[in-house]
Amino acid sequence: MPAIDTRQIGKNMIGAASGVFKDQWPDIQDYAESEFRKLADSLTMVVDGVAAGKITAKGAKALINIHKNSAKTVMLTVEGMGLLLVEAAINAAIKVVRDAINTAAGLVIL
Amino acid sequence: MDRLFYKKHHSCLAMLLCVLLSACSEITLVGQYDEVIDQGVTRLHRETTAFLLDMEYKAGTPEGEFIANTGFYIGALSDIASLKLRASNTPQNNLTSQQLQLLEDSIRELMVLHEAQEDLGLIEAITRPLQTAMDVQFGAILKLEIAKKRGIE
Repeated sequence: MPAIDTRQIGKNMIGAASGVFKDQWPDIQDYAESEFRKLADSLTMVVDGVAAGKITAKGAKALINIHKNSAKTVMLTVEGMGLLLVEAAINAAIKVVRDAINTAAGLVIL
Repeated sequence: MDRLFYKKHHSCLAMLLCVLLSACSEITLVGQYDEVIDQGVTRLHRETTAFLLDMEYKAGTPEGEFIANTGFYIGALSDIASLKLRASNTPQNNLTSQQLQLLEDSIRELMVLHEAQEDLGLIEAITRPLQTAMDVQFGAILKLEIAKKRGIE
């Protein structure tokens, strides 16, 4: 069985993991920014509605609470997508180790 | 003595193999994609959008008042309760469970809002920002659910 180059495997693991982050993180960031911008614009409409006397104080409070719930839901999505990213990065690194061991062994053992 | 050595040796090897195997198996940090949640949330979004358009059209009439439209709220809250139950029984699905709870909170706030409007109903000044906030909320739940497919279409 040929020797396993652990230094190279370490480098490959970092490369595989960082590749996942580099490719997908900007999409998550763009998503969050775009959704928060929509909510901010929408809240401006609520303020305008209250100023124009079209929305009551009680109605405005409920509308603001709905906007808060939406913002929290977006944050949970960002958290989940971040976790999925970490998961993909760890699994990419694990695959590097698995492939190295299988290659060194000359057969699929892991 | 030799037998004891081999027995110990084999146990160590078996343990090492277990560690190696577990270290090389893929990990999961977020629950799996659930088509029922995806379709349920999509349907509820469509029904909510249709309801808000209908209410905007009926604003200022008795048909647009809260008391004449409790059926929508009962249906929506029942659907969310079923989705929450399903989500809570899926491993590592805490984020989706929290999102569905927030959706329920929003529908309850909408009830308060609708009732507070009395005979005015849900006028355009309300439905426009409301629709945006609901779109963002439903969209966020769906985005996470679809992301759980992990690149598999």
